[in-house]
Parts: sequence; C-alpha cells; structure tokens
Amino acid sequence: MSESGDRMDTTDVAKVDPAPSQSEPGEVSLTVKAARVNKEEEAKREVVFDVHDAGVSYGEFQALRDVSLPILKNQITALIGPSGCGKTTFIRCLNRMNDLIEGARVDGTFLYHGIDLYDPDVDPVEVRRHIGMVFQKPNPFPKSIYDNIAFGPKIAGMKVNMDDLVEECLHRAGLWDEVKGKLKESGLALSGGQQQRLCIARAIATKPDVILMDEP
Amino acid sequence: MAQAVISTPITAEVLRGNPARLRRERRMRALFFSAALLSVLISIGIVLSLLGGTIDFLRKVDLSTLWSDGWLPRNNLFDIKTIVAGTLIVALIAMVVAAPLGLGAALYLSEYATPRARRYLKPIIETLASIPSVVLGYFAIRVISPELVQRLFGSQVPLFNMLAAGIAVGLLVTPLVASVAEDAMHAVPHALREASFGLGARRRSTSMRVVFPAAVSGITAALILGVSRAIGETMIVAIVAGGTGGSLFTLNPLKGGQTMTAAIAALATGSDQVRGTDAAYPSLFFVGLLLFALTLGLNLLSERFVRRVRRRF
Amino acid sequence: MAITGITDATRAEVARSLTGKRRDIRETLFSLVLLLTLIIALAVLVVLLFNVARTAVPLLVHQGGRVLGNDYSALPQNAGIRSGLIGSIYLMIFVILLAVPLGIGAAIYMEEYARDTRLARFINTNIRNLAGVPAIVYGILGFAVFAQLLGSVTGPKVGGLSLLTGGLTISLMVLPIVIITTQEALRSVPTGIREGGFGVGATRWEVIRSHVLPNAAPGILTGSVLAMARALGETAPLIMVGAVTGFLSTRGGPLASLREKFTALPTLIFTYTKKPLPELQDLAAAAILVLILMIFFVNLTAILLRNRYERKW
Repeated sequence: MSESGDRMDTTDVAKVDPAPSQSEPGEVSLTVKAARVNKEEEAKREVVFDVHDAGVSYGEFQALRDVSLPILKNQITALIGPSGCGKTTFIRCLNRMNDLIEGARVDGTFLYHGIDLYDPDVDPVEVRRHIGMVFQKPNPFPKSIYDNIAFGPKIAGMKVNMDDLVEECLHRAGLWDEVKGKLKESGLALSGGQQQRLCIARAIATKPDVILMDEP
Repeated sequence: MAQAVISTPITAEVLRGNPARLRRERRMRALFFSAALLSVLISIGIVLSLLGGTIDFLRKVDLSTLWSDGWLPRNNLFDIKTIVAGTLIVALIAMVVAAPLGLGAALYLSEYATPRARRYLKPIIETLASIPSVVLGYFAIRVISPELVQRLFGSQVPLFNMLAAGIAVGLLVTPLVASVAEDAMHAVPHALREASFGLGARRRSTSMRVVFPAAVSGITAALILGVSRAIGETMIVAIVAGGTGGSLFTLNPLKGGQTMTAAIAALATGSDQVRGTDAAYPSLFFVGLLLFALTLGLNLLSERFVRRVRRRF
Repeated sequence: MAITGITDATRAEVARSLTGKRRDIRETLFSLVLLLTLIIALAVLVVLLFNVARTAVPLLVHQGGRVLGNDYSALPQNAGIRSGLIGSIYLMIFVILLAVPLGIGAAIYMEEYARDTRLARFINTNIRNLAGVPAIVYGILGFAVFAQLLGSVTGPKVGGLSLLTGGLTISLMVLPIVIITTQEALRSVPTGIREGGFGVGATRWEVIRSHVLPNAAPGILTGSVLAMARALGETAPLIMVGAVTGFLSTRGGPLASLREKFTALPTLIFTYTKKPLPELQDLAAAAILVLILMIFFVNLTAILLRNRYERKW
C-alpha cells in the first residue's frame, strides 16, 4: 500500500499479518479488511502514542506536516510510504532522537501513555530507555557481541543476571545459534544481516515498552 | 511471541529521569566547557600582556629613536626597521630554500611515489618537522656558516650572518611546507588526473598543468604557513644571525642582523637588559606585539586559502 | 582478414608513433629533479645527525659519567647536561598532567557538546589562531602572567622564574595542538556509534565515555605525543621565563624544586652552543643527541600504544 506525497492519513494504521508475499493490490484489501473486522477490539485497546498535528522542519525545509494518529498497544504498526516522505523523521520524534539533530524543530503534541513527550521536565535519555530503536543501517558498537547487548542494561542500572539477559535477547533476535560460542568476538565481525539482528537484540535488552524499527 | 514486561508503569515521574544521573551529566558538561573557555582566556592573556607592556614602552621611550641607525637597546636606539628588515630577510632566504625543496618533495610524493613509498616517506617527513629548532641552530653555527657560507663567500663574512640563519630556517620549515602542500595535492580528485592521462598527457604535464593549479589554494596556504613559521622562529636566529647586542640597520644577508624574535630573546636573557634605562626592557613587549600581529595576519590569510580548498572538493 | 586501404607505410608509421619515444627525456629529468628535492630534504637530517653523532658519541662513550652526571658549568672539564635532562623530564610530566587532560576536555566540549553558535565558532577560530602563535609570544605571556603577576606563588625566591612557571608556560603553548588533534580524532568517529548509544538510552557523557573516546583513542594519543615532542624541543618560551641560567636545584625531589630555578635540555643546548669554546659546544652536541633520543622514544611509545589500542575492531 503506497501513500503518495508527504501526508499520512489516519487510516494508515494497519495490522500486518505474516502473510505470504502478495501483490500490492491484494495486500491493500487484506489489511483494510482486517482493520474493519477488529474495530470493536481496537476500541478496547490502550493507546500508547497519541500524536496530534505533528510537524518537523530542518531549518527552512519542512520534512513533516499535519500528522495525527494513535498507536495502539500490543500491536505492530507499520508506516509505509515512498522514500523521502518522512517515515524516519516521524518515528525519530517518538523517542526524541530528533533532539540530536542540529536545527531540527518538532511541532505538535506527542502523548506517550498520556504524558507529553516534549514536556521540558521529561528527560530524553529516560524516554529512550523505554522506547528503543533499531536503525536503518546496522550500527553495532565496536565492542564484543556480549558488550553490545549488555551496555544498555548496564547504564540503566538494571539488576539482572547479565549472561542470562544476553542469551535471552540473542534467542529472541534469532541470532543465538550463530554466535553462541563467540560472544567475546567483535560485533563488527558479523555479516550485515547478523549485525542488524545484533542491533535488534541490543534494543530489546533494556526491556523497552516500545520498539521503533526503521526499515530493519 | 512473548511480550516484554515492564515492571514499573510509565508515569510522568518516571520520565523525569534519574536525578543523580542528570546531575552528573550537567557537571561533566560544565567541566568540559570550562576547559574550552580556557583557550579564550589564553588569547586574552596574550593580548593584554602585550598591550600592557607596549603602552609602558611607548610612554618611556623617546619616539625619535624608533627611526634611527639600528636596534641597539643598550644605547637606547630602537630602530624598528632594523628588526623588521632582519626578520624579512631571514624569512625570504628561508622560503627560497623551503619552497622548491618542500613543493618538489610534495609533488614527488603525491604524483610519482608508489603508495607504499608514500606510506613510509610521509611519516618520515612529519618526524623531520619535529626536529627542535635549537638543533638546527647548532647545525647552522657549526656547519652551515663555516662550511657553506664562509667557504662560498670568502672569509670576510662574519660567523654570525643572516644567510646561514636563513638557510637553517629554510631547512626547518621545509617539512611543514612539504606536508601541507602534499595533503593539498593528494586531495585533488583522481578523476582530474585520469582525464589528463586519458588525453595522452604524461605525468609531468599532468602534475604541472592539472594537479598543481587545482591544488593552488592548499599550496598557497602551505607557503604562507611556512613564512609565518619562519618569521616566528627564534632559536636559530638567536644563535647565528647576529650578536646579542643588537645590530645596525643592514639589508646585506652576509652580515649579522637582528630579527624581531632574536631581539625579544636578547632582551630577556639579560644581555640587552640594562636596568638603568627604562625603555629597554619593556621594548620586548612592543616587539612581541608587532610579531603577534604579523603572524596572526598571516595565519588568518592562510586559513582563508585552506577554506577555499575545502569548498572546492 | 585484411583491411583494405591500409598500406604498409601507414602501418609502419602508426607502429612507430605508438611504440617509439617511450622514454621522454624531459619526463625522466623532471621526475629526477623532484626526487632530488625529496632526497635533499631528507638528507639534511641525515647529515645533521651524523655530524652531531660524530661529536657526541665519543664524548658520551669516553666521558659519559661526567657528561651525564654533572650540571652546567663554564669549565669544560666539569660541564655536564644532567640538570637539563632532569628539567626536560619534569616539563614533560607537566604537559602530561596539565595540557593533555585540559586539551582533551576542551576538544570534547567543542565536538560533542557545543552547538553551532557564534560563541562556538569563535572559540574554534581562536584555538586555530593560538596554534599559529610563535613560541616566543607564549614565553612573553608566561613571563608576564606566571612570573611577574603570580611570582609570589610560582617562585617567591626567584622572581617567579621557576620550574612551575616553565611548566605552565609550555603547557599553555602545546594546549592548542592537543585540542586540534583531539578534535580531528573525535570527528572521525562514525556517527552511527553515537546514535546506537543514544538509542539504548545513554546520556551524552555515557556515550562519549563508553564509545566515542575508546574509538578515538589512537588519534588522541598521536596528538598528545605530538604535543610532548614539541614540549621537549621548544626553547624560546623557556628562555623568556628564565631557564637559561643552567641551574636546577634537585635537592629535595621534584616538588621542592617546583618553585626554584630550572633549566631544560633545549636551553642547555642553546647556552653551550653560544659559548666560544669548542669543548663546550661539544656538550651541546651531546645534549642534542640525548634530546633526539628522548623525542624518538616518546614517538615510539606512542606508536606502540596506538597499535595496541587500534585493535581488530
């Protein structure tokens, strides 16, 4: 399902089922149908993100405009669109990553569990502990596989058995069998696909509430 | 798929973050900021001390002596043109030595040397750049002046002369010129060279007609940096360019002279410091101010050329 | 298959123009001239070292005890370089303890914390200008501030011309070098690493400490070593703060001699070189050899440390 231009409608919320590869028209009808069937169920679900009139501009350039949508709990929400339409920009708003870009200005309201994400009292570092991210390009740390995953929990002060946590995350990222004997080796020594799975394992290590994935 | 379980519910309180962590973060940032601010303090300190001493000097000095027969603080003569001439003569000779040697070496390294050779030679050149200037000063008075200059120009030439100083300063500056120029030449995109070779040009034409002009901003920056370094050089000239009593005005490199830097050094080491006359001692601040202004101007100029290189590529 | 229309004559002519004149004489000459410039630039170092070694090695071999054990003296048979050696080591320690941490801290602020404001750009330009200021101007600064202004703190019995003053002055001088090279090293760390760190909820300092600094360590190390080599070899600033006298009191250990007179190898070289007696000038050669060896070892340690840090990542 392709959305043209740089506007995203609220009907973009879709439930993505692990369906066999289909042609685009088939996909459209599938997802729309699914949404309609579950509308009552949807009404009972909790809203995790409530976004109203979001906009992002880099200096003069307006990257995003008038985006409003709810994102529901326990559901995979996919944002689909042509390249350059602002998908990455939008999800980076949700974990305050756009703060790190010089000259970026974020407008609109972002409510996370009812709390304004951009409230001055809110610590962006804390936000990112609860809202994890997997980036478009794999960016494992130049450390061992073990330390890649252990870093987040360690600085968050999580009191857990680190060995168990690392193993659990690697299992869930589907990487355990391939690296179980080589945890002390460098994360950069893995292949591209493995590196990205490592980044996924790293993101889930802090047991975040939400995971943002940028074209993983 | 099992869901991740959050032990604490997300509230505004939680999102406020850990106060201890926030405090530490603020402290580190302040620490680093003060380090950066120190650099500004240094500049202010330099300007203030130079200005203060200069004002002191200008108040005590008889202004007519600023245009006299020579720079002889012991005799209360503070002829500016003597020391400026000395500085410029030494710098000029130095560039006559450093420009061909430095640019030639740079051109060879960039266009002719194999990548393997370049990998070894470039660090050697940078090591050369860290030879202390006193060492070259020793070399100048032990070897360059007697063996080279006096032999070439006859025994009339005194041991302390500006030519020997100029040659030594040139040798000192050559690695700097070579290194910066080589960086500039190497940064010329390979596509330009390929275009030239594709037209049937050989390496010499390519180097001289394509690479050199393309890198001209960086090369100019290298030369200006060289001049700036040559002007600011103290030890070589203090050893071999002339006696410490000062000197009469001269434009002859085969004679001894006095540069701005050597004048300052002489005033500090006490040989010119006559505590009786007031103006002699603070004159070092005055000369320091001139020197600072001169090198600052040159460096700003060279930076403009470096920025032009960056913009092009 | 024969191509019609091509005569034997044409074929011969084409063959000649393609294979003949493979070696353009001007090409070869040109590359030779360039190679010559490179060789001359390097050869000077060799000749210099050879000349120094020829004088210094016999002296150290036959009279090493006296040369390395005695302090400065105007009498050749009593003269040595020990005080300079100790002084240089003390100064290096100053640089390591003062200039390196401050420089790294300032660079961290400029590269990791500062936003692109007017103030930040001003500080940046300022640092670059400071790097080009002649060493002797730093000497004037050190003299004016540490010796005159703060003389009662830095060296009450010696008018402020103490080891402490010398160490502070040299540290200020090499600070810009450390800052600039550290900035380059930090800049070359890929941003993906930082983003990954922020993504898992690390604070800026945590990202710097755990990821950026270890990654930039080789480059930072190189910069610090450059600074130390400069500190070992610079003479002019030390002259301005009284190091020429050649005396260094070593009684009571390093802390006690902080506020006393001092000297270092470069200033000893200067003093001995300027003496008219060849025997005393020979001592300068010995000091030069020791100094060059020290610089060489500092460089070597850095290369080894850098290779150890630049692991398989």
